[in-house]
Amino acid sequence: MDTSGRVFELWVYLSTSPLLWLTVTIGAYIAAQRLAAASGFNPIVNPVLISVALVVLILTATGTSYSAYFDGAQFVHFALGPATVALAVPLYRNRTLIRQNFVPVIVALVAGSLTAIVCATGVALLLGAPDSVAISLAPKSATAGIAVGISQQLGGDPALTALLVIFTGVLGAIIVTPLMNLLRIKNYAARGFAAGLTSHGIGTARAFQVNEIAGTFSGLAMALNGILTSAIAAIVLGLLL
Amino acid sequence: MEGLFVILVCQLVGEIVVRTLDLSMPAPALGIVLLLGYLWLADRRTGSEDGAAHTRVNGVADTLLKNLGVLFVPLGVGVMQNYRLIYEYAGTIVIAVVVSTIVTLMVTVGAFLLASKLSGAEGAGDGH
Repeated sequence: MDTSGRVFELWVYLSTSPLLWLTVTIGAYIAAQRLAAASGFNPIVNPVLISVALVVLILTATGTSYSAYFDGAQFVHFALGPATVALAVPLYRNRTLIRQNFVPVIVALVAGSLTAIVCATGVALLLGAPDSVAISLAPKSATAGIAVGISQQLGGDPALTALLVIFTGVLGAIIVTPLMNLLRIKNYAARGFAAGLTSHGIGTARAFQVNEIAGTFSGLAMALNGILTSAIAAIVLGLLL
Repeated sequence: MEGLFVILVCQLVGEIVVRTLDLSMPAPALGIVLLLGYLWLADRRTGSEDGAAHTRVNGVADTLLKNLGVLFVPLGVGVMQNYRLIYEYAGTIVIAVVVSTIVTLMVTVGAFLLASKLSGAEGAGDGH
């Protein structure tokens, strides 16, 4: 057999093995992280967005189906559940901070969480989007592991929700600092809390770059909003749809 | 290893409760609450803050959370299956996300500041 025949045979074997796509997923993320570092962690250069684009490009170029890809990628995907549960750890670690700021934290949490769901769903419905798109938008401020679960349970499109979660995260991370400066808000606890509630982990990463207090409050807001959104999304959507 | 076990048990119990009671909430969200309960109980039992139970869970939790980004990638790639839905409603989706992101940021920060001013009047030093 000639060389190209052997290469083809090897490709046929590898392209259906979980090992290749698991490696590609992690490799794409490492490459994207290097790019983000090279840009000085500019929020526009988001490693998640870049690695998704890279992987989609590779799959399309090689004619690989999503289900063949997911056979390998599922090992990474699985860890999303435990990683979401792990949010309890920073939440518990900062319990004194919550106790000290109990009233503002709870008020901002309820107001922000409701606004995020109602506003996204409302605008989409007003513009004539079908229910499936509106449902997919509803949990987009919650962290991905929770948002995707909500979307799936309520009849949305989980993959669309995943992308919307990332989009909301990147957008919030880009606009939070200029917006807060424009509004002349100097309270970094409040600024951070808004960043984490709106833009989950991506907003929190951004908040930690700006200020330690902002980052801690952002992490709190992300965990609390994940829990609250999962508790109220079904009820709020029931009223809107 | 024990830390990972505790986290998995919290998720598993969450899954069982959600399925049994037919709740419309993702199991990991309930898992957060269960893990909070575990950490609190562990503190109560040992009578110390952040004891051995924390050390076990913290290492695993921090590793998972530090690499949270890569865990979104397989889901994000799933969008290649239904790019048509996005094409068709691209304008609507972008407007909805942009508007709600700006409004949510403003409402949240406003509510936080207002509530801290009002509760601060009671003399509770909320710092910052």
